[in-house]
Formats: sequence, structure tokens, C-alpha cells
Amino acid sequence: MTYRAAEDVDLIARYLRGDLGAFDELMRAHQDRVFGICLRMLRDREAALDVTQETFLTVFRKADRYREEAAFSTWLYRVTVNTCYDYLRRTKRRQADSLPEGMDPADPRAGDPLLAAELRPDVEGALEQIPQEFRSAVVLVDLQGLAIDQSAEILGVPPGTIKSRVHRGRRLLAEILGNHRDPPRHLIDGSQTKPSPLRAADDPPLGTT
Amino acid sequence: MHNHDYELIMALAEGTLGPAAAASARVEIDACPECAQDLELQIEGLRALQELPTASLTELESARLHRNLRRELGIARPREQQPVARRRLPLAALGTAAAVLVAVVLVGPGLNLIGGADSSDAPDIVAATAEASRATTAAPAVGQDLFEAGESVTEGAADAAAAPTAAPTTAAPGATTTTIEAAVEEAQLQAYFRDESADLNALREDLADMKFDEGAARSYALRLADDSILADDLTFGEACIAITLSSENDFLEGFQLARGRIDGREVLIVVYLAEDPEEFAVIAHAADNCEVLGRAGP
Repeated sequence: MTYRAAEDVDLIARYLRGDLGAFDELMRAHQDRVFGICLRMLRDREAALDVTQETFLTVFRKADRYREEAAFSTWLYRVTVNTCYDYLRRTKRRQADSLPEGMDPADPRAGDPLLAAELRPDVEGALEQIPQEFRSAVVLVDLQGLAIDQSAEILGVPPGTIKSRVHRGRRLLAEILGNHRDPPRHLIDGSQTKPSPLRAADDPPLGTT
Repeated sequence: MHNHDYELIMALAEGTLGPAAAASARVEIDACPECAQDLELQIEGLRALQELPTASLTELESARLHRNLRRELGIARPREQQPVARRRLPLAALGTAAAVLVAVVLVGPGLNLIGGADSSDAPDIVAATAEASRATTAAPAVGQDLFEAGESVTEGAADAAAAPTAAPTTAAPGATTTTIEAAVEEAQLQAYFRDESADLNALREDLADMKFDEGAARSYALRLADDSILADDLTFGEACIAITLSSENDFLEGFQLARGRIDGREVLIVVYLAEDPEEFAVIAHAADNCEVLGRAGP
């Protein structure tokens, strides 16, 4: 158990005993990372704030159910990602259905490198277009710097699936940003119509995990 | 690399392979156009992700989150658990307060003045200590020299010089102790507080437009008469807010804080935000003792 993990276990125990200082310490230790995950998953700052609050409410209300089988942070980030998924479901956000405005390959400006640079969508916008399963893996591993194993535990999939999703997420992101070509449909929806050499052996089609 | 080893490509893009392994992978990838394109995309994707700034809560967002959670979870704030000792200010301080009151009456006919005349609700804070928080590259805010360590905060300006300097206090490790501050032009504030028809919304928008700057933030802790600390994560501005709210027994949804000067006196302008965004109040606190000098709004 890492120092942080041991510290969290102690803080949870203190919080449950009524030590309110432990509440503040837990918040300070994790709030930015929780918010960071929410912001990158949802892109909307107000929504990220709401979901951050909802996440901590859930965790503190269920703190007595926390078992030390997993690190507190793993449990917290799992609740975070699931709360983001719930939010996205509730708001029925469209995922990766279209390229950003102005990124039509037929756009004549795309041929001019300088004008094309102006057309380049922001990274956040591109990230938003990636299917959420890929996005969550990229956010945890590449943006939050979490280990593959912990990310796998958080998302409830095997480590190989995380690697595959990170790989595909980065690739999709680059394709959207670089306007190399339309992101291949089979990369987005996991359809089997075109066998993908990029598909990891242990990564089932999305939606079945 | 006939089977398109994507893990190897990822490792190469991440730079986690040793020199020999990287060279070997390069040879294989060069012989596989699809792999080479994949490597290019992995590098581009990683580079794009590294462009994203680290996402973190602002001080205001953090304070709001903590307050909302405490409220939802039924957790009392430290100041609510620990009653603040109260006593009347000495006559000398009342004299000072009265003088301030007169001064504000002169400059702020449109304000609903509540400060100074009745000091019985003022907490007995004998000293404030201040310490710089976070390295700052921003220019010092107006009147920053008034925020040095050991100032009296409620005894009145006349008593401040004679007040014993309290031992410095330190915030808890990792405490979020910065505040959001901005220097406000004196003339601008004078205009707002002199003009009976001053539009509160305009004032608030103007304050927001001044780009509240965390870079100039300093942190403060207040030492109470019983030698306890008001709260280790309260900024000086929040301390003023805590003092105000302690007499009003109300929740604060959020706040915006700016520094300024009215008639040569340093003031903290606090926009108190209620749950309903349409409801807010603007209070001018004396910067040296948190005294409420003027108030506008509900």
C-alpha cells in the first residue's frame, strides 16, 4: 500500500469517527483530480463542478461501505467515472457523431496550411468526440497519469483492454485533430464490418464490456 | 511486425523503450507503412493531450464545493463548531469606528450602512497573521503593504499600531489558502459608492471584468482571543466574510473579492453570492480590520 493509500484509509476512518478535519484533508487530496476527470470527460466546467460534487456526496455518504480491498482513490475515481457516465446518459450527449464545424475535408481552406491551422479544432473539442469508453481510458492514463492496472480496476476491464482503448483513443484524437481522414467507423463503434488490425484480442466490441 | 504490435508502437511513442529496443522497433516499423502511420498518430495524439492544461478548481470553486458538501452532508463548519468569543470593542475603537462611519456617510449616500455603529456582534479577534502563499509573479495589489503580519483586525486602526504581534500561524499542509483578488481603481469605486443609482449588476460585472487574479493571492489566518485559529483555510477575505456571516447566520454560496480604496482607505470589496445568481450583496470591508464600511444590496 502506498503512503497516499494508507493516508486515505486513515482519513476515512477518522471521518467516520466524526473527525471533520479528515473531510477537508480528503477533499484537498483528491478534489482536483476528480474535477480534472470530470472536466475532461464532460468538457463543460459547470457540469464538471456539479458532477464533482455529486461524486463526493456519493462517496462520503457511502464511506462506511468502503472496504480496503481497493485503494480509496480507485474507488473514488470509479465513482467519478460512473457519475460522469450517468451525467452523459442523462443529458443524452451525442458522441463522436460528426467532425467539428469547419473540418469538412472538402473545405477548400483545408488545403492551405496556414488556414488549416485556424481550422484545427481544439484538443478538448476533439477529445469530446471520442467515444466515452476510449475517452475515459485516455483521461485516466494520459491526462491523470494513472497506471494501466489502476485504470483497469477503475473501469472494471482487463489491463489489456485499457491499453487497447488508450491506443485507439490517441489515434482517433490525432485523426480528428490532424484531419488525416474521417475516423474509421469500425474504430468508433467497434463494428466487425472491417476487421481492425488495431483491435486488441481481449477488447470486445464496445457496449459489451 | 506482421501482427501490428500496437503495444510496442505505444511504448515507442511514449519513449519508454530502451535505446536498443527502440532502434529494433524502428527498423520493424519502417518496414510496415501501416505501423509507421500508427506511430505517427500515437505521437500526435500524445502531443495533443500534453497540450491540455492541468484542470484544477479555482479558489472560489473549491470554497463553494466544500460549503455545498458540508451543507448536504450536515457537516458544521469549523467556525460553527467553535463559538467565537465576543466582546464589545473598547471606546477608543468605537471612536475610530464612528469616524469611519461618518466618512462613509459622506461618500456613500446610497449605501445601507451597517458597520461601525454596532460592534457588539464583532468577534473578538486580537490579531491576524499573514503569510505569503504560492509564489506570485503578479504585481502587488493595491495596499498590499497593509496586509503584513501581526496586524490587529478588529481593534480599530488606532489600536492596530499598539497591538502585540501574534505568533505567526501556518496553514495546514496542502491547505487551499489563496484568495481571489484584484486591484480596483479608487476613482471607479468612489463613483460606485457615491452614486445612489449605481447599478449593482454593473459593479459586479465590472469586478468580474477585472480578471480576479489568483497570482496576487496571499493567505491569512486569524487568531482568536482564546488562541484558537478561526480556520486554517480561511483567507483574509473569507475571514471578513465569516465575521459578517457570524452575525447573520447565513450560508454563503460563493464570493468574489477585490481590493480597492475609498477616500484613501484600503477596502476589500466582497460580492456575496447567494444560491440564486440574481441575489447578491456587495459589502465594503475595511481592509485592516474587516469592519463593514458600507453595504449595498439585500
